[in-house]
Formats: sequence, structure tokens, C-alpha cells
Amino acid sequence: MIFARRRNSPATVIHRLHPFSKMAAGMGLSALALCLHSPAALAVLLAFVFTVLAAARIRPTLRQLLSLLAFFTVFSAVNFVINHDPAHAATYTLRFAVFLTAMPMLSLTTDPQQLTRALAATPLPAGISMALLLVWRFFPLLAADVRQMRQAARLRDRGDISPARRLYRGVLVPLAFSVIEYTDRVTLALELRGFSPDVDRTCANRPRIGQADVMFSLLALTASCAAAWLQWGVGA
Amino acid sequence: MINQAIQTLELSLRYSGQNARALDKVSLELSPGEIVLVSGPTGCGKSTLGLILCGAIPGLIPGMLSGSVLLGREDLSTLPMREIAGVLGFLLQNVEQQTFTDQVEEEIAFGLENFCVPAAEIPGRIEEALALVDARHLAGRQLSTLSAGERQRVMLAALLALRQQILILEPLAYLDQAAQQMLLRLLLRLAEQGKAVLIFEHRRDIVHTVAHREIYLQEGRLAVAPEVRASFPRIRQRKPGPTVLDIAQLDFTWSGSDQSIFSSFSLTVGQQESVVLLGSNGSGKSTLMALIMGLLRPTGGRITVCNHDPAAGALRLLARDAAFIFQHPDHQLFLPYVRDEVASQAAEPGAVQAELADMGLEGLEDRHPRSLSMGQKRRLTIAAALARQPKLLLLDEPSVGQDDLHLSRIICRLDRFLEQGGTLLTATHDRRVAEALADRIIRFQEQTAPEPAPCA
Repeated sequence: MIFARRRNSPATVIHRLHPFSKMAAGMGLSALALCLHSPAALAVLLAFVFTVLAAARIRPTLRQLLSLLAFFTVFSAVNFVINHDPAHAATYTLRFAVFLTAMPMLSLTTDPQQLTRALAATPLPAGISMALLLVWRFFPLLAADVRQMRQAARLRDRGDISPARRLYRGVLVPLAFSVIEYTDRVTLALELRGFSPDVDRTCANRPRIGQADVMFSLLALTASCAAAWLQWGVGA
Repeated sequence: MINQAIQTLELSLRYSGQNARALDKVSLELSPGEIVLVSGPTGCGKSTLGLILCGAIPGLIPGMLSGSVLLGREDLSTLPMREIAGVLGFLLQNVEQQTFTDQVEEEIAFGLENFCVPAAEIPGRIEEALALVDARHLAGRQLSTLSAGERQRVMLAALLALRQQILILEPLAYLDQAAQQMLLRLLLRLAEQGKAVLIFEHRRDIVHTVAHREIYLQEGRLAVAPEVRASFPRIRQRKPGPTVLDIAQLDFTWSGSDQSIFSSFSLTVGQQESVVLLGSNGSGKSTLMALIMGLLRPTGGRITVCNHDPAAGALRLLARDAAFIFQHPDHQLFLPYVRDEVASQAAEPGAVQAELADMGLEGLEDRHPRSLSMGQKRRLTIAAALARQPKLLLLDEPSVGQDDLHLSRIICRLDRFLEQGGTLLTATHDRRVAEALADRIIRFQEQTAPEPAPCA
């Protein structure tokens, strides 16, 4: 899309990790966060996630940072009002922050194609991994479509219709058409490119577990052990 | 094993819910080593024919089909689409919805993987295909960073990597002149290798240089092809009036990129002036239009449009005086009827029928805009924009999807728009349009990629 922000994804070591390494780390950290109730222990997990995201050069904009800060401030305040316990509020806020950031370690640093290739190595049917790829690909396309529809709606706005009607006419109706057309076109394009869910495919570049994956997993394990020690080791 | 070309016998099709036949007793033949141009006015049935030949009709799209299609010696209706796709490649007009990955090599590999080409062979096939379309410089790029024309080239490479015997292409619409010439030379080479090529295109003048023959469709039937127009009516020269658009020292760089798209770019356009931005794919023409309309913010400099500052964010005020017609018309069509699309924008009620007639859309008033062909949709967006009587009209690639007759109509209507006091800024890679429309041509240089190297 010509009006989409152009950028090339930075190919950092985090981007090159096997998708399953990142998935396992994300799920493991989220599960551990459920068990922890020490703010210090949860802070260790969060620090690890932030370090990984920083290494992947994922930098939120100032606006995003301020929005997140405002959200977590309100979240902490509500927790504090309910429980009158600052430690409790901090625990819940940090736990929620770990949930929100752990899985994006995978989603923000993994191409859909990379994940599909990793899934292709599992006994999962080709149709399912392809469906995952299409859904994943669908959302950025949909977002780009919505952006252009909103731009088009704004460009023809003469102030004579209400915002709700403009949203319905200008975005929702074209979007519904866009989704239907996308489905039709994708089906046609898949058939034209020879895809069939019943037939095996080869894989040009299957991701492999490498030294970086071992190192990443060890670091994730170390962070988890440190958090567990802060929770159960220090006071015990 | 199918290794011969394609033949249709008395092929007719009527889409469900429509009275008229989209195709009516079309018989044609395509032999190995032959390049055949299929042309005709917009909505004449070219796309329908392509969809039948690749097995999508009636396989995926329902319709009442009669007659037969032979692929080699086999009846096409007995073959699954995957088997057809192994022999026949079809490059659709809208490449946006044919991509499944977000990286150039991955996209080319996708089809090869589907056909179980051994993994060790795939990198070589990718390199070979990119070289064929002179797109080696695009290797490693994200598809989202490519222009429409560059993406079309990558998709063509994805098709060529499969080494099919028959190619059906709708490829020239978004390609700039250099890419068109590259493609035509490539088609000749492919034909010499024995491949059969069917090319659906409005730009008959260009394809005639390589096509062995032409099949002309009119209202779904085979017809005698009219003479190719050597030139188009030219707009009348007028003395520019007061400044309508003023761009001073414009700088623009995409967020996250260190490559500047515009650096100290200045342009002034007066009332009743027609300025054409002529340049290759990815040279920044559409980006400039988005900046003028306030859809993007410049990183430096100043733009004034009809005394408005687009960067100030008062888009509603700006949109009263300036209209912008996007490259892809789908995003600008909102309403359930063609008539409503124009009526909702018209400054005067009487303008609706007149604008539709000027754009050759009479008789289609009660159709849903989404059911029109790409060229008709484009003309509908032009009709709706002109019905608003804007002071400034920004038109992005007006020739895409237009046959000669309708392109002439558009040019004549734009001449009247200028005569009525309007100002026109057009972005195109089509030299014919530039020559017909321009009081002044601003040439854009390639920004995102080097010029393609000549074919070996």
C-alpha cells in the first residue's frame, strides 16, 4: 500500500531464532507469572522480556509508551482501591504486563512464513498451517484497507453526514466487501499457485534449532530460576 | 502429460443473476510459441475468458458455461485446478491479493513448494526467475516496501519460476515504460522457447510490437479489432491563473527509513493548469499526492493547497476544494448504486447523469459499483470527483484499465474541467497520457531501486 509506512524489518538475532524457541519462552514465562506473587520476581521476568524486545529493536513510539503508562497507572489504581494493598496492586500490574509482553516476543519478531515453515515440520495438516498463514497475513492487509477506506471517507466528507453514518458507509460497508473479495481472491490465487491441502509440499528453508536458540532458552531459564529464587528462595 | 496449448470451441458464459452473456460463442486457439493479444473495451469479457481458461469458472465461480475448452488434448472441465496450474500460469491484474508471504524470495518459493520442487533446487529457480524479470535488485526486500509495479514484477517471477507451458498475463497496467519493454522482450524469449502466451491488455500499441495476432472482444463476442490509436486528443493550452498549489522546499522521508523521497522539492501550479508527474514505479508520485492531500505529513517544507495547509489537519476544508482519485478505485466506492456514488458528491443534481454519460457509464446507473470492471470503477470515481466541481483534481494513474476510447473520453472531460476553471495534477507512468494531458511535465527519477538492466 502506497500510504502505508514503509519499513524493512530489522533482522536481529531474535528474529532469526526458531519460532518454537520464542513460543516456548513466551508460554513458559506467562505460566510462571501466574504462579508468582512477589513483585520483585515478576519484575525479573518483565525485565527479561523487555531486554529481548529491545534486542529485537522493537521500540514503541512515545504515544504508545504514554498510552501504556496511562493504562497501567489506572490498572494499578483500580487494584489498589479494591484491595488497599500496594504490594497486591504491584503484583497484579506486573503479572498483567508479563502476559501482555511475553507472547509478542514471538508475534512481533516472527514472519508468518517462518512460523508456517516451523509448523510444517510437525504432524499438523498442511491446510491448518496454511490457514494460520492466511489469517496472519489477512490482518495487516485488512488494516491497510481500513486505513485507505478511512482516508477515502475523510476526503469525501463535506460535513453533511454524522460520524456514525460515515463510519458505516465509508468503512464498515466497504470493509465487508473487502473481506468477502479477499476470501474469493485468496482461494483463486491459492489454486492458481498450485496449493492443495491434501498434497504434500516441500520446504525451501526449514527453520532449525541452532546455538542461538540454546543460548536464548538458557537465558530464559536463568531469568525464570532467578524469579523463582526471589519468590521461594529468599524468604524460605 | 499435457504439453500443448489451448483451444476454445463456441464458448459461452452467463453469470448467475445476469441476463446478458459475459461471453458469447468465443472460439480461439493458442499454439505453442505464439503470443496472442486479447483486447477489447473494459467489461467486454476478457477477465471472464481468463478465469475460464484457468479453470476458475466454473470450478470456483459459478456460471452457466457452454462450449468446451481443450488444454492440449484434454477437456479442461475434467482436470482439477491444481493440474491445470502445473501447465498454465495466470497472473491476475491485482497482485496485492495474490501474495501469501511478505518477502520477495519467499513469495517466489511459495508456488515451487506447492509443486513439491526439491528444496535444494528452489534457490536456483528463484535466482533464475528474478534474473528473467530483471529484478535481482529486489531480492531480500519486503513486499510491503515495493511499489505496485515492482510487486507485479515479483509476481511475474513467481509465475516464471514454475516453468509452465502456457502463460496468461494481465501485466502491463502498473508497469512503467522500462518494465513494459523488459516484459515484452521477455515474452518474445519465452515464445522462442515454445511457451504459449495469452496477454490481456488495453495497451494494444505496446503489445502489437510482439504479438503474433490479436483477438478482439466486444460485449462478449469476437469482433474485428479497430485501428490502434496513435495519439489521443490533447488538452488545450491555457494561460495559468492564480496559484492553486504551492509546494516549497518539501522534504519527506518514510518513518524508519534513511532514504529521502523528497529533498527541497518545489512546485507551483496555477489555476487552469494541467501538470503531469511522469515517472517510473516507486518514484514517489503517489506519495507526493498523499502529501498534498494531508494524508502524509512532510518532514520539512511547506505545502499550500487552495489556501489551505494540509499539514494543519483541516482535511474537511481541504476536501471541499480538492479531490483525490486513488490508484485503486475500490476504496473510494461506498454506496449500493452507481447513480448514488455520483449523486452523493454532486454539487448540482443535474450533474449526475451528465457525468455518468461523459464517462461512458450510462445504462449502468442501477448496478452495484463493486460489480463493475476495474476500468469502469475507475471512471466512476472520476465522475464522482468531477461532480463535486473541485478547484483542484489529483488523479493517480488514470489510464489503468482504460481502453483507447474511454481514455479519450476521460481526456476530453478533463479538458472541459480545465476550461471551467479547474486545475489538474496527474501522476502517471504512461507517456501517452502525459503528452495528452500536460501543460507541463515534471519527471520523477527512480527512488527505491536502480533502473533495470537490459536483457541479455
